[in-house]
Amino acid sequence: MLLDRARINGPMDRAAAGDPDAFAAVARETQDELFRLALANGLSRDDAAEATQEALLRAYAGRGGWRRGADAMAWLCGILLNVVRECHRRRQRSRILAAADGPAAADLAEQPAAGGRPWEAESLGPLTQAIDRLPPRQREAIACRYLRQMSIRQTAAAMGCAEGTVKSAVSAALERLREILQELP
Amino acid sequence: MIARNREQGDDGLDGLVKDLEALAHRLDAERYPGRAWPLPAPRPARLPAGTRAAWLAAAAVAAGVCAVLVFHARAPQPAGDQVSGVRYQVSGEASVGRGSASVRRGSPDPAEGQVPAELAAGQAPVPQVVVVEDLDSYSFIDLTAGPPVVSFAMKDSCSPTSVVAVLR
Repeated sequence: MLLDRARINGPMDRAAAGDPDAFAAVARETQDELFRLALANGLSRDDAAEATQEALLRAYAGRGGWRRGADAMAWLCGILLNVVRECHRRRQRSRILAAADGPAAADLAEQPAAGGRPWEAESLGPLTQAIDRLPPRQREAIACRYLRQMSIRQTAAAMGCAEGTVKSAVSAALERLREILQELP
Repeated sequence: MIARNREQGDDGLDGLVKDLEALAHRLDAERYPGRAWPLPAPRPARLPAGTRAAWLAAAAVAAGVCAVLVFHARAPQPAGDQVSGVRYQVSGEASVGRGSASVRRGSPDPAEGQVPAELAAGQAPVPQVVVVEDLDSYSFIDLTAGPPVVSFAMKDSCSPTSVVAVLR
């Protein structure tokens, strides 16, 4: 469940005004939720923890640009999604490079990162695999909208797009998920 | 839920949505391992604003009390408690210069060369002797009772030799 914006906006306002302790309070309140959003976007536990830290660090560095009155949680989720995209890009790049080095290196690159994923061995494994195969924007829409129960407005703010775009991305993602699940053995 | 049904349409995605919700519940149990942000550095304890104001007020009161005490300590003491020098100028055959003496103030200072009326009337309760120093002698003027009695002593002697005059 996404955090109430009123719970974070006050400390975030103070942090933007220059209070370092207030940002520590923001981080303490949001770290679990950001970590879950990173997991929902297909990162391993270790990568998700690192992405959470990186997102908080970027938020701290950019706290001067925080717009008072905006949704702090959506703002932080947007920063995290940027970090997650970069993480996926790095992973894809390493896969390509490993494939160029030979099949052994490619197998090594395909291995899941240390820390694993919480639902990998459960009955929901096929669903997580299907989510991993979605295009990035559709995966983000599903992760925000369904896996973290964010509203359309919060999802749009986090993804940096219009609400209509979120709706169409969610609709397309659900359709694509169903197709992928049918393809899976 | 209504919004989601609109997004889903009527093509039977309920099972998929339920699986997604189950996945969401599983995610809710996840927590960040450890601490993503360092704790704020401990800062020296600051007194609350109200306490600071109270301390400032108390310090101001104490400073005022100290100032009053110092003022009183440096102010002249009441008459009768302090010994101070009173200078008299004596002229005559027996004295050749200015003399100084210490007296106990039991009454207001007499004017130069005069004897206070109460002393002259013998009302002063304590002995009052004026000592006048010359080059080689001392003159003692006893103002205790009755008319002043003047005695004389050489500096090399410890006792007055004689009463030389009685002022009237």
